[in-house]
Parts: sequence; C-alpha cells; structure tokens
Amino acid sequence: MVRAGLYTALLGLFSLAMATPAPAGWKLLAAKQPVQVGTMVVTPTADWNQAGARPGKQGVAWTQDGFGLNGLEFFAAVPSGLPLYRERSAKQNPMPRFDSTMLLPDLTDFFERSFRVQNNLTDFAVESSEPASFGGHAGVVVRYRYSLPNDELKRRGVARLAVVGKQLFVGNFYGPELHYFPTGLPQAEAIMESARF
Amino acid sequence: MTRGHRWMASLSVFGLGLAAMMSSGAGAVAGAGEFTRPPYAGAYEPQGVDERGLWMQLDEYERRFRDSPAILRDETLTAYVHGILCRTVGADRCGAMRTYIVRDESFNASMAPNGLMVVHTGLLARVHSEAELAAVLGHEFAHFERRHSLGRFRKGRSTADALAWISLAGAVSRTSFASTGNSLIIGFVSYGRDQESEADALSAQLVRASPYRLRASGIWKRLVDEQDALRKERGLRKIKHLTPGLLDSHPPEMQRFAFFAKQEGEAGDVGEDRRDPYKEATAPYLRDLFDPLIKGNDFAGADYVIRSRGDALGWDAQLYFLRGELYRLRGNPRDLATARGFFQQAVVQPLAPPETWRGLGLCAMRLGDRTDGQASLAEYLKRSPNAGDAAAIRLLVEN
Repeated sequence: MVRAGLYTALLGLFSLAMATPAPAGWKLLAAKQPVQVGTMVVTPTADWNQAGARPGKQGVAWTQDGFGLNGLEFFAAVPSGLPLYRERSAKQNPMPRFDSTMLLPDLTDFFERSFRVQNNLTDFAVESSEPASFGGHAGVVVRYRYSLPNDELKRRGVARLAVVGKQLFVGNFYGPELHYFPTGLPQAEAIMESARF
Repeated sequence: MTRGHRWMASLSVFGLGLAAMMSSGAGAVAGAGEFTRPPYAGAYEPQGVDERGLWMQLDEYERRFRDSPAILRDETLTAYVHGILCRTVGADRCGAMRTYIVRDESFNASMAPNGLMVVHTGLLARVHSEAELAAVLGHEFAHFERRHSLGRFRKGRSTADALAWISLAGAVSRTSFASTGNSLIIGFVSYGRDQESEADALSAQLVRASPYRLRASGIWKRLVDEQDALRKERGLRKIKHLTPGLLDSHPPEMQRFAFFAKQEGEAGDVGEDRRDPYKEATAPYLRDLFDPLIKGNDFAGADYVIRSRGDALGWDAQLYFLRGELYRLRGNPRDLATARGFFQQAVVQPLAPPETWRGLGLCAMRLGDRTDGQASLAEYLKRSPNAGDAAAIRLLVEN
C-alpha cells in the first residue's frame, strides 16, 4: 500500500512536470520595451525572441523567424583578450581575440574572422566597411555577404562595431538575401540605432 | 567541415564518404611494365538499378551544386585545371568530366560517379607544379575509372544487411553480437581504404603514361609536416602517420608517401614537372587560393603552406603580402612587427597589390608609428581610391 502510494505520488509529480513544458530558455521580448544587454540598453521595435543559448559570454541572440532566416546579435562590453563568440574548443578551433588597440579596419578584420570561425565559413566577403555611429559612439559598419558550407543560399549581413573604454560593443543582423535580409534590414537598423551604452 | 555529396570520392582524410566513380568503357589495367590506356568506348550509360540510382542522385546534386556561391567561377583557371586532367588521362576521357573549383582551405578534391570533379582552392595552394596536380587529379579519376562509389555502396549495403540479421539473431538468442558488428564495420572501412590504395596505384600508372613526371610523394610529406606544425602550435598530441587507425577512411599519409616514393624511384626521370607554368597560371589567383587559409584559424598550417610555396616557386610580392596579412591578423605585438617586415619586402617587388600598403600602414599605426602609418595608408588610398573600406582608412589618415 505504501509502495502504491509512493508510485502514485511520483506519477502525479511527473505528469505535473510534463504539463508545463520548459521551452529551453527562450524569452519573448515585447515591442518597445527596453532590454538590458550587459551595460547596453536596446529597444526592439517589434516582438523578437531571445534564444536561451548565448552566442558569447557578453552577447545575446534574437530572432523572429528562426536563425536560418533572420538573426540579430548584440554584444556588450567584450573586454580585451576575449573572443567575441564563445570558444568551443581552445585547442581544436580557437577564436580570434579582441584587442583594445585595434583600429577601425582591424575591427572589420576581427569581425570577419570571428564570424567565419563561428559559422565555419569558407565563402565570406566584406562588401564595404565605413565609419558609422553605433550607440552614439564612433565605430564602423561592415556589410558582408556569405554562404554556409554545402548550402547554395546567398546570405547577407550588416554589423556595427564600436570600442568604448577599451571594450567592444557589437550589433549584427544577418539573413538570406532572398526576401528576409532586405525586408528585415530597416527594422534591424532601427533597433541598432536605439542601442545605448 | 564536410562538403559535397555522400557518394563523392574524395582525396584525403578531410574528405567525405566515398563516391563511386562511374567508369566509361574502361578495360582492365595492364600489369607491371608498359601501361597502355584501353581505348575509350564512347558515351557510357549506367547499368543496373544501383548505378542508375547513384547517377540520378549525383545528377540532382550537381544541378544544385552548380549554382553554389562557393564556386570560384573563373574560366581561365578552370580550363587550366581541366587541361591538366586531360593531359593526364587522355583527351577522349576528360571530355565528359566537368571541373569545378571551390573555395575551401582543405587539401581535397572529389570525383562523382557521373563525371563531376571538384577541386578545392586549398589543394591548388598546396601543390607546386602541374605534375603534382596531375597526380592528384589522376587519383580522383582512378576512383571514377574503377567505379569505387558503386562498389562502396554495394559493400555498405551488404554490411548493413549482415548487421541487421546479426542483431536480430542476437535479440532472438539473447546474446550480444556487438563485437561481430564492430568487426563488420571495421571491415567496411578498410574496404574503403583499399579502394584508396587502388586509386593511388592507378594514378601512378596514369601519370607515368602521361607527359608528366610522377611527382606525388612530396605532396604527402608536406601534408604531414603541415599537420605536425599545426599540432605543435596548438599543443596537441602528434598523430602517427604510418599506421592507419581502424576507422580511417584513407591510408595514412606516410604510407602513401612511401608508395609514391617507390614508384617515383622506378619511374626515374621521365616526364616534365612544369613548375613555372603552374606558378604563372596560379599567380593571378593567389589571393583567392590562400584567402580561406589566411582568414581561417589554422595559423601554423597556413604559415607552412605559404612558406613551402615560397621556397618551392619563389617569393613574389603577392606571397609576401599574404604572409604579412596572416601575421597581421593574428595581431600579437611581435606578429605586427613581423608582418610589417613582410609588407616592406612586398612593396619593393613589382606588382605589389594595393592592400600591401594598407597592411603596412595598419601595422605601423598599431606599433605606434603614426607618420609612417599614415603615409602608407595614403599610398593605399591613392592606388585604390574606390576600395570598400576607403572611408574608414581616410579617417585614419586625416586624424
């Protein structure tokens, strides 16, 4: 009898746990509500989903339709000597590290190499890299195009980088060239404009 | 990273699973002694359900692959590589092949049963002569000639069938046949290795029958040195290059080196290397060939590949520039000084690309030498006023 009672209790607990499935850390960011990303404050203009898995220690990754279709990343206060994206294996696949003495063109190269290693790319080209403001600070905007290995889909992206107080701040939007990147670009640019740090 | 279709035969350990090469009217390979190519019988149609199915799959793959952005679409370079293939295997056979050059830093080439051949830029960066390239292309063609993908598919199917029956027998009799299953899998993998050795052997014969000298052992030796350099830099354990691991898809590099060294000893001095034509043909594309290497994260490997090309074919402005970029991108303070040295060696040579001055200027500025840096960056802007990053560079020059 005691055993039956225990069994029933366990069953009850189990079904309770299954009734509310855990969505693996995803969070809904409501439109127009400022979001704190480290020391940076960003205000999305529409609803976005924040993934539970972070791309890097100081970063967050947002998406509306899934990362294969649109992705918006923000990194706040990456210190000198650390990589942008999370280093999965320091020995097998080391990530390039940020150095606070980097100049604007070096930031472009750093972003290119980081993005290449993160996504295992061999096809990546920077279309342009110009001085621009990010969060009210002088920085650089990098426009690039790439394609994933074994995938024929052409993708594009735009990244804004700025160094403030020897720390790096990055906003990056990417998506396929077919519909998703051009359609999502104005909104993404507006969100990046809203960043303050 | 994996690239390509499951059933494409690839060259080295970085490759994917094997693809069957469909042979077109090939006869038996002659034994030791004179090697004569059997006459080409004309267009070949796949025979049997398996072969037709494989061709169908690969045709579909090629249809998509043809539009891939990773392909380096340059007619001159593609025609040049295709021409080397034709000179190696005979113009009649190479007419049905389609050659594609793909941007990828790995040393690899692949051949599909339906005649699709893929050559990676990493391969073109690592070979130093037409003869070496001919040996590699011959190896791929040998897979094709011997229908290795088809054989591999059939062997894989029968292995899977046996595994299924054995596991059923195990379930019925309540004993574990895991060790038998493992042996079957190991046997299947070693079948693939035997196919690679067969392709090596046939490629040696093909090259010996061609105008090229057999020069393949150097490639494998350099590959070993490159891997050792990379592992030394990363502090990883050195791998043994002589005995194959149980699940290695290809024979180890030193085994292939030993085989080709012996063949080259027997072949003697016949045939031509054609190093200078290879150097001239690849010189305009050096940036495309080395870019994935330099912008990847294999510093020691990329440095080795650049150095070995320089030592073999001579250092020119482009090669100095590429080496400088490699060091500049790693960006440790000592690297910046080293990179500056390479850039300075590049600018005194003819035909230095404009980006050399960009690299020189950025290194100088980060090392604290503003006047020198700004002068070099101004020179870069003069030579390349419409560069993608001209605005950012101009900001550095004017402040």
